Amino acid sequence: MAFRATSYLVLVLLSLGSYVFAQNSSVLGARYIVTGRVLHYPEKTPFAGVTIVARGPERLVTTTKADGTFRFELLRGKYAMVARMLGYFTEETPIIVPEDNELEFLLRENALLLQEVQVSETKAEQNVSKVEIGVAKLTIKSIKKIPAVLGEVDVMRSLQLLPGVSSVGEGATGINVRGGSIDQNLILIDDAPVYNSSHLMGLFSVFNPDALKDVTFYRGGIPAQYGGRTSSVIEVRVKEPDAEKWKVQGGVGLVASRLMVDGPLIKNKMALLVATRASFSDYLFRFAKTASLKGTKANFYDITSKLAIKPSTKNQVYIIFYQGKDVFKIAGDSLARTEVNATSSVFDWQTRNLTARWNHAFSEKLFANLTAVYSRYAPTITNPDSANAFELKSGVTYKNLKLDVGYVAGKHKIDVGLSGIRYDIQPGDLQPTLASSNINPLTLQKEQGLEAAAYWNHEIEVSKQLSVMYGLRYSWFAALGPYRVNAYEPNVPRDPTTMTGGVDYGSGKVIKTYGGLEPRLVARLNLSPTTSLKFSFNRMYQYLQLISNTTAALPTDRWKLSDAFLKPQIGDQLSLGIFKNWQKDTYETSLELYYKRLTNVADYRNGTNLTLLEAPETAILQGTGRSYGAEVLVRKNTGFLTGWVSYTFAQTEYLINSPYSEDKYRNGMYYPANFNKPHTVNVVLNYRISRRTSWSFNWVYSTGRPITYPIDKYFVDNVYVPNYTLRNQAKIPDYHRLDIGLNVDALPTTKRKWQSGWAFSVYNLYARQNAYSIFFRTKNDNVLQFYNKVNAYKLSIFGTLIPSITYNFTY
Amino acid sequence: MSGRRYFAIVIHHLLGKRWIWAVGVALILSQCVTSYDPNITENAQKLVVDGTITNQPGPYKIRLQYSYPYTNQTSVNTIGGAIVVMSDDQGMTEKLTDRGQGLYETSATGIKGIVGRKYHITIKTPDGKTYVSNPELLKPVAEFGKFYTEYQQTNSAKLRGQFAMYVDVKDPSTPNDFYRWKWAHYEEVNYCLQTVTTTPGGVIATRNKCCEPCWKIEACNGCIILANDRLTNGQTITRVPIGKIPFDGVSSYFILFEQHSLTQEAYQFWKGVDSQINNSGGIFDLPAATVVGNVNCTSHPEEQVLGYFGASSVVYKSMYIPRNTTASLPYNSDYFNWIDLTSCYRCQESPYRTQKAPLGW
Repeated sequence: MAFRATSYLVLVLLSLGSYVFAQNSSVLGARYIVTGRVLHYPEKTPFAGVTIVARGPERLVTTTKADGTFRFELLRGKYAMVARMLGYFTEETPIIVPEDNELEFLLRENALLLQEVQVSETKAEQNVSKVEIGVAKLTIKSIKKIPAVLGEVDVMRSLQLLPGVSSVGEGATGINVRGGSIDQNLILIDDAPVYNSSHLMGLFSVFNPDALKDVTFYRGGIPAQYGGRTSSVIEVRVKEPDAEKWKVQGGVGLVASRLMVDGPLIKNKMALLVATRASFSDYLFRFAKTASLKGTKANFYDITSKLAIKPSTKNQVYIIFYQGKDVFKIAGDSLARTEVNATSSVFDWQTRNLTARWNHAFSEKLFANLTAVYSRYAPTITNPDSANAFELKSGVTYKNLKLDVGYVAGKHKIDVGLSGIRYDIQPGDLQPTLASSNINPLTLQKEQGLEAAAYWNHEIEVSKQLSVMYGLRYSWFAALGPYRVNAYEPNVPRDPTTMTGGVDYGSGKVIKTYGGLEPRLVARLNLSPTTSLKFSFNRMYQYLQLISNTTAALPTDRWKLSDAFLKPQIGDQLSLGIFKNWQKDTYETSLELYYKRLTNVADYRNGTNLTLLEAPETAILQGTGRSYGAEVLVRKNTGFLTGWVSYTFAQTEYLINSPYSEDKYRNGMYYPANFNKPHTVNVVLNYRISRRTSWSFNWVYSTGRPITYPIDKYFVDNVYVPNYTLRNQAKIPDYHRLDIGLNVDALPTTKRKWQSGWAFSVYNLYARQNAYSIFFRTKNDNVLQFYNKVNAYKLSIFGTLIPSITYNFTY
Repeated sequence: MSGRRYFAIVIHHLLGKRWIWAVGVALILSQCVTSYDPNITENAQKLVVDGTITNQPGPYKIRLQYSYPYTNQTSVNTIGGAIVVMSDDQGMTEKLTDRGQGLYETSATGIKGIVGRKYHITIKTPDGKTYVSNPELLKPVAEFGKFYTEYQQTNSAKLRGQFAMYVDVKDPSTPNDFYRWKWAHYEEVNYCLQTVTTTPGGVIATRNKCCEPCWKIEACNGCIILANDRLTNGQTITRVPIGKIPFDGVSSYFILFEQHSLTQEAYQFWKGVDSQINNSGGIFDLPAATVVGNVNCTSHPEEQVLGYFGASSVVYKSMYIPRNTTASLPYNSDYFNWIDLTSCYRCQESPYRTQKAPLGW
């Protein structure tokens, strides 16, 4: 393989000849400590998760920690030390123990290696050895190999191929992780929160694949560093800009086109990456048959940028900027739900995130990150009709300052930190935009909140067999004035007729505080070198939630802080897993079981319009939820054929217990959540046929989502009304779909500057008309329908196959 | 319906008479709606109450039925022999007369709907169960607003176009005004029986004249036309889409409109009915849920009771809507060479036909 040929390889053996006393004795003899570090080339940033193999008198394997370090206790003798990482050139260096006891590897990306085409969550040996459960790391390379809808490589869609992840259906925003709702996922792009992960109302995710390095997805065993959402953490990291030379990369697709430029501003000191993506999809609507469709407009763009400044080896400063905007114009007011008659509505939503981070290394063992984040999500609905012209604005502003300190020494890795978040939410501000408009201005009161957290996370290798990561996070939330808290008559449901007045809180006055301890624990017990048993527990608090009662959330749905009425959500999760690798890590198998309890999940009173609702506490009901499941995964990591097969069993049920008879039809009965799909099978395969070309296949199967069927019908005012009672007790037909993709990569030559490749894909190859929903309608015409049947219909969203083609290039 | 392919959008929603478009861009995307047999476990036999008191002269009608199995297309399950009493909050009470077929009526000289009073009904069914409705306030209603139509072309081979009807209503300065509109088209008919027989020799079409003056009624059943003043209190509520009339002739089209006031609870009920019957299963639709009425079973509080007893002020407006406003002519719709028979056919009172001339004719 090519790694010998590389002139980029820099291998440094430090402190040659220094001698370390034996720490440990065994029957075989004294053991000597060998430590080292793996860094990315050329950025020289720590490289976590690299497999290090020591081959000599004995064979030992470890992986590098978050700071890129690793540590062995080796017997005296000659060893070959190998650093191996998927998609990178493997590095190898000989050492003599105990003379050589410290070493450093620089790993360079290799676009040509065979292993690179693996569609891989985690690296082979780590599956067993890491103190992690329910964690998946997807490199952007592996995501790019999955067949894409309409040629757009999509982070959120690829997460849906992992066990434990589902969504309400095609075209819906967000994902449901182990029974959580979509707002329970903390989606971070370099520490800045993303409130809406979709472009075009749910078709594409907002992340530009060119600009990304990787995605880490925690659905269990979440470390104490993270908090604020109860289900999962999705951490998206922007690629490090190239500090050595300028590079242009891009792609032309049918819906969107991409361009990325990165390179050094000051060689090896300061580098910049700017990536943009824009859709030119308006033209597609001209093919529409219907006039009102032709008036539809849908466009988006996003910009991802990262500036890296490295004044010294001990200091690094990063500034990451993300901005994304969508404009979507549709006929009518159906989605706006403002109950204003309109010929068209324009939806517009924008995310703007700015992160500044300073990394400082005090020593090899102690380092700190100081991060400041500003984030704003601002959706708007506008209606241009002169008689009803209005603009409805809302927005969430997030300001976060946090300090994270890490300490790594020997068998210990300790992380401590502090975080403070200020939220400012405008839930809705309706203004007429023309003098002729009949709309009255309506401004909902703003919400303010403060969320503070402190954490301690400690990873310790107790013995060769047992490693433990335990942590504790304390989070605290205060809802702040200015705010008027409504008062209601006691012992009756809260609604506008039982409102008795209210209490005004001044600016900065504390309305209500919540807080609690969030314990986290992950333990790993090695049963054999290739088998381990893992256990985890975590509790998470969530003080900010999405208020949405539609099947799929709208980008304009309201985000709401906890307040005097709305309690924070709490998620407790227990999980247990067994992991085993076979045939020298070629095959990887795992079984994970989990049980989750959700406290204060939200549901809504029937028939309430949540748009511009002045007293949301009159519409929201809180209850409990439970979710449990089993996830089985078999993965092949190496060879021409790679990929995985997973099976998930999952059940999620909610219970809303209201003390009032008005809500009695919900009482005492658990009902399945909208996204509850008990059985899911995912097959993701990639078959490499040449150095350039590979085929990829996805096949997904899941039980249909639950739906409410009418149990009878009744006749009022000359119309038949289906009567729905038991919530979500039926299910729609099962879902299955096959996608194929053909990737023709750039020619495997490093000589040519302009390199290009093609990606072809067909989504839903056998054109199955999968049901999105089953719905019931009575015939709606001008004759009395006394004898008419209430008809049931099936709605399919992607009812046919969708081919696409994308051209990609780098320069 | 068969699958339809578009070179464009992901999802389109069919919502009642409104075509509403939503979501997405794509290259070749197809969304399709097909018939489906859901195999429902049925549980009928719930009391359904349907009736309204208005500020117009009585008699007022209450219809009592049981709910039907979901697949029912034939049977009628009305409730006779019940004791139905209508009362207001001033002590006025009247027992309704059982007219058969589940229909109960007040007397023309009995209880009156008066703005500002609250009304409720109590029901005792033959099986001994008792029911009571929540008190419903009879609210005033605004003047019938400005009416206008807009001509729209249709792609149908049978119909060249249609007229979309709108109303602009001036809302009073009081908050929480809720509106509902209903309408029916009346057309005087000359022939009360038309028979078309296909024979080996061709189609024979015969018709009988009506024995008395007769009007055909085409009500907009299933149209739940609602508006509220939440965002436009005291202003004009504009472009309320009332419905569509076909361009199948150039003669004026007679319509009798009713504009009703509603309470907030009644508005919620009808809004719920509207979203259930016009549900399109789309991804941004509200999930199906129980529509809560205002009648409760006092003897068996756990029993679900369906329907609504309402109180409304009503203004009527009748109108001849000109249909000769466009340059084009409608398609000819009469396909038969009619043979007029000499005997006449009775004009029977039904939801489709009446001998009484409508208001404003």
